[in-house]
Amino acid sequence: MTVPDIGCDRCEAMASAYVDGELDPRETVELECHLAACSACRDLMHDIKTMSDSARSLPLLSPSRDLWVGIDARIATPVVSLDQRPRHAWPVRRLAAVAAIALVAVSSGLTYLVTRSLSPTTPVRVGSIGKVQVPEPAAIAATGNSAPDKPAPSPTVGRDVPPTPIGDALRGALVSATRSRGATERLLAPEIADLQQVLNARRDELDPATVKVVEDNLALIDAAVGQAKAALRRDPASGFLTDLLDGALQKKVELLRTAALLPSRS
Amino acid sequence: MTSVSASGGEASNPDDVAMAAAGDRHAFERLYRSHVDRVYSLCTRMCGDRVRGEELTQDVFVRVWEKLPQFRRDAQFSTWIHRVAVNMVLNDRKSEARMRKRLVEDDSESGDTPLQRASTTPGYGDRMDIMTALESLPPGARQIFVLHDIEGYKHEEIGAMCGITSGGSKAQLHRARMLLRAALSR
Repeated sequence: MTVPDIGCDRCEAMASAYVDGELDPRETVELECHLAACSACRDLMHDIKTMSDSARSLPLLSPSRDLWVGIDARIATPVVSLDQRPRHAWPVRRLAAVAAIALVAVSSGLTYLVTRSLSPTTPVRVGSIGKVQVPEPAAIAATGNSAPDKPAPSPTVGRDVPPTPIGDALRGALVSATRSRGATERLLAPEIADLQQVLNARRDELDPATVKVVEDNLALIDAAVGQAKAALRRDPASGFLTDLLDGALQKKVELLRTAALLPSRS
Repeated sequence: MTSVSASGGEASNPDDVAMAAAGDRHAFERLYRSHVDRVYSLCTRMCGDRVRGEELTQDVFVRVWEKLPQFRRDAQFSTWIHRVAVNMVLNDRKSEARMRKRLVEDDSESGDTPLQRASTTPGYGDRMDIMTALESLPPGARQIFVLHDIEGYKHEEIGAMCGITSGGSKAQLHRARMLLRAALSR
């Protein structure tokens, strides 16, 4: 049985598919029969294969300059999109976000006063927990915008939430209360519990990977707190261990504040 | 911990992805440094211009930063950022096409920076010729060739990204290869 000659025009039309292995068996046989008799088409196949192989191994290019500076400047600028929709009743998610911001503002004010009254130095670093960054509250308010074609607002900015002033009478009570051992833990326990509740309530809204990072860090802090308490039971007069425990509790509050203000995943 | 992927770029540290998603800009900078060359290469080769390639690369990373909290770890981060880059270039081309309907461009004032200057290795022989010839392709054919022969996408994926059929992608690829062959033969 002889195979019909497909001719150069048809061979050329099938060339890319042949090089990429996309022809069916019958077409492959017909084309290869033609190639056996046509040097021009053999050259064509060879050129296409060489070009394709060379393209696959092209080296990566590098920009002429470091583009990070421009990128960093753009992501560091918070973008607040205007909500064009008419304002009716606030959705539950927005109310929860506002409540989280209010709670964080109050707890950050209390924490500020506690740290100021305890030690003038910077907070003690516990274990491998690094400084966390706090998102702009405006970014939380903007998460209600769900238009799919618009870019999402920048989720985080590296800034600390400013402290909230509290009356002199309360400030005085806090200062005197914190001078006794264990006072920081008693003072921060309600805020920690409230922030933990906020985090639990928002768990389904947040990215699971982010929640895991937060929980892993909380576990580290709790372990540090446990170790500091155990050491204090053996050496109750140690100011260093008291500072260590207080620092760990403050870290826990900071982390919970950050988690409470994380933007919801859309 | 990072390793070198088959594409020649560095694989991403999963911790950096998680930390960047939580707002850590230092972690995001590490991701940038791991992926910038691959993203820049894709953008520049698809658009055919070095300066525009740098602008698009910046746009890609800003978009990645915005969308990172939505990134689900069911795919490789490198695959995901690559897809963001492809979409960015394709959308840029659509915007450019709309603008050209209203504006008449003078080629002598286009300010394009030829693709061959984007090469990092002067006198690279055959590879330099291919990159020069790539610039001469019509934009659509060039993009399909870059996506298929350089970046390794399949025709079905290209069709989905570009809004064409896989048959259309195959036809464009064949056209690109024939034009490149003609350009390289001159």
